[in-house]
Amino acid sequence: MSPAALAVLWLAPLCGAAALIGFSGWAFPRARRLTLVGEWVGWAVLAATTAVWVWRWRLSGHLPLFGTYESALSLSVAVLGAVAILRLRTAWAARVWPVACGVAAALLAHGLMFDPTAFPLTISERSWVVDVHAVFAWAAFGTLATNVGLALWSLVAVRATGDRSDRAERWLARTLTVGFALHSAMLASGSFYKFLLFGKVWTFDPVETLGFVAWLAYGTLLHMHLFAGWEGRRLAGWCLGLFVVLVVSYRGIVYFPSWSTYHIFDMDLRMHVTGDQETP
Amino acid sequence: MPLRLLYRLRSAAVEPGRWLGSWRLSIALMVSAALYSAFLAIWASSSPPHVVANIARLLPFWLVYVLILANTGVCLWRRLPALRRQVAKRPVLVVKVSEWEVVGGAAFDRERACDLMRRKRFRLVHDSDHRVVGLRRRWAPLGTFLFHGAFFLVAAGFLLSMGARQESTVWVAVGEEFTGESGQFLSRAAPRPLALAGPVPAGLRFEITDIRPAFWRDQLLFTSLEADLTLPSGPARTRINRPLWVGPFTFLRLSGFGYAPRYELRDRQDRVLDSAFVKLNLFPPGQSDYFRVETFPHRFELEVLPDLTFDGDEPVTDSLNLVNPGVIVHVSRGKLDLARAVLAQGQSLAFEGLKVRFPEIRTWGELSIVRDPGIPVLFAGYLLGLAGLALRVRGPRGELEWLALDGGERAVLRGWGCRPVAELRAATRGERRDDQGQDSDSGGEGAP
Repeated sequence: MSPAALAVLWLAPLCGAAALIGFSGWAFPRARRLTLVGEWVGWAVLAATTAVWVWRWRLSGHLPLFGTYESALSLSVAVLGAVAILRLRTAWAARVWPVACGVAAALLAHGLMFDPTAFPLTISERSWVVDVHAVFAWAAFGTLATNVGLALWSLVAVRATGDRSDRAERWLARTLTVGFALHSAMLASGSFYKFLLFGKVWTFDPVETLGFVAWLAYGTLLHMHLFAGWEGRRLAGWCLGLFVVLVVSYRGIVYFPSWSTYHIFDMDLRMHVTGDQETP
Repeated sequence: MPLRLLYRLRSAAVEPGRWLGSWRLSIALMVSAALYSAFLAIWASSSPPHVVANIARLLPFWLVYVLILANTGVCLWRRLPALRRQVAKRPVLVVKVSEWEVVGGAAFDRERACDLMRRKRFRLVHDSDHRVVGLRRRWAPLGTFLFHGAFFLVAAGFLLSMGARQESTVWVAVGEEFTGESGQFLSRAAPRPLALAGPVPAGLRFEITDIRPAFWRDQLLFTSLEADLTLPSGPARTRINRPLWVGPFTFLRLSGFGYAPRYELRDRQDRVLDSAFVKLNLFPPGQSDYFRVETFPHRFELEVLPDLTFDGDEPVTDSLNLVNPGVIVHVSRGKLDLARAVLAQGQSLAFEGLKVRFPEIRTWGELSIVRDPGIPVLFAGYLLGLAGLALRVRGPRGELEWLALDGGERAVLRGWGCRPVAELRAATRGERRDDQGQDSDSGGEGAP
């Protein structure tokens, strides 16, 4: 096993352990020390994941965006980073750490199922537009993962602990709005790059369609929040449900046949290196 | 239930504008569009993208697209008067009941209120001894309009693209000049209903001076493919992921690459009977293509090995770089195989009193000449939409009002579209009307 894969192999259970400690803090709200330890472990996990991410960047010579393995690593950093940014804005956000660690653990575990070899960027990823697109995608995913953390807190822990929920709700709405805006920017930059590469802005590639489904779903939820007054547990429940759609749109593309999409996530490797290019 | 439905249908028929502009219709349409798109994604797992694109152009999809635009248009139109009020320079929210109110003592004076508003990026729009009003995010309501208005530009872009896009393909070898003659086209788009001009701009000429592919190791994995061109306006460069604009709606797109060997056909006295470059589909190595020479009955089938070497007797290529090219040539006449050989540079193959050799191999580039008036419109729509989101995402319009009470003995701070800030607690030490004043941040939540 390569050192890169080995590092992530350690990171995934580390994130999982951090999530468990954090969730224990949720379960025993009076054990303040446990909550504190959960937060410090969250920061430590962020530092470790970021270090591995930077190392991977140096190893591969490009922003870690090529293939499912690198994308998992980058998304993990984005999820943990988004919670850290929120934590720096409000101390209350420390409660979201366990969800972020859990999501990061799941992402890393999924990434480990794919080839961790450091490939150079193919011609289709060598553009600053791809970098911008990837950064928007990571930021959107990180923000909406934070949103799901807040939703879970509103649904589970608020009832158990009696903690005030108005801040969770306010940040739930804010992360929903910001996540939607970032997801829109991700779709627009992806469409722009599609034009640069193929001369067309939309070709019904499944990655575009799935991203569009998630965009529509989050847009609908925002409308329900703004016009129908959806708040509280109802909004939180839908945020939780839509995150599943988002995860499918980000991580599901790899399960489509290689001829159906030009979005990388290992497709290019399968088509050009391993010769998996059977068409229907 | 049927009566209720009937009533709804009747009211929709009487007031179609109200029905078209309702938020409930927006929700229904967005959910429909999401379900349709999910269906397209599932379909994409078993059908190629062009089939999926054709499904997306079926009537039910068009109905949803048209209704979404109509719904958005009516909503925007009906909210236009409100928008004018919402982006006014003067304070407009202060006439409403405040969202929160904090009462402070004499210490919370006018200077302190002004300072607080400035620090929180409120622009003071009214400043007197007894009253100070601050305003921020004045243009936030416009963001919603821009974002939704962008849908129309995006839709117009897509429609223009569908109705007017013309794409032609040419293969141009290094050193060859493209002049737009009909014989130079590999394929030309059929006339489109909305196209105002031909598929290729009049007077478009260029010459390819160099094509540079680069590969990762010995794999068929391009890491670069770029072409240098000479246009009448000067030199230019295009890459496979960087189209070259040659007009307001026209661009050249490098979309492929191949080899163009030059053949020489000689007689027994070594006189050249014919020689020309032939642009063949010979990339990647292993791919074969053929050509015929006019007035001769022979067929020449070729394979190019760009970096020829031998593995025992087997000709192979060391890399994909054109450094030591060899040609595997197979000459036939009708069903009769005449000769077959692997030719390194300078070698020739004799058959039926003739000799063929390939002294030079150049590269050709496949260029698509695309005329699409929809693309700039569509990108303008994207930019407008993102600008709208950027305006809106920080929160709604916010207003703060400070009022001196009891001749300056007390003061009240009221707010709309923003939250009380932490400093207020220190500044006021007064009674609080709602319990939201404990929040420690200053951002709005993005609600309308």
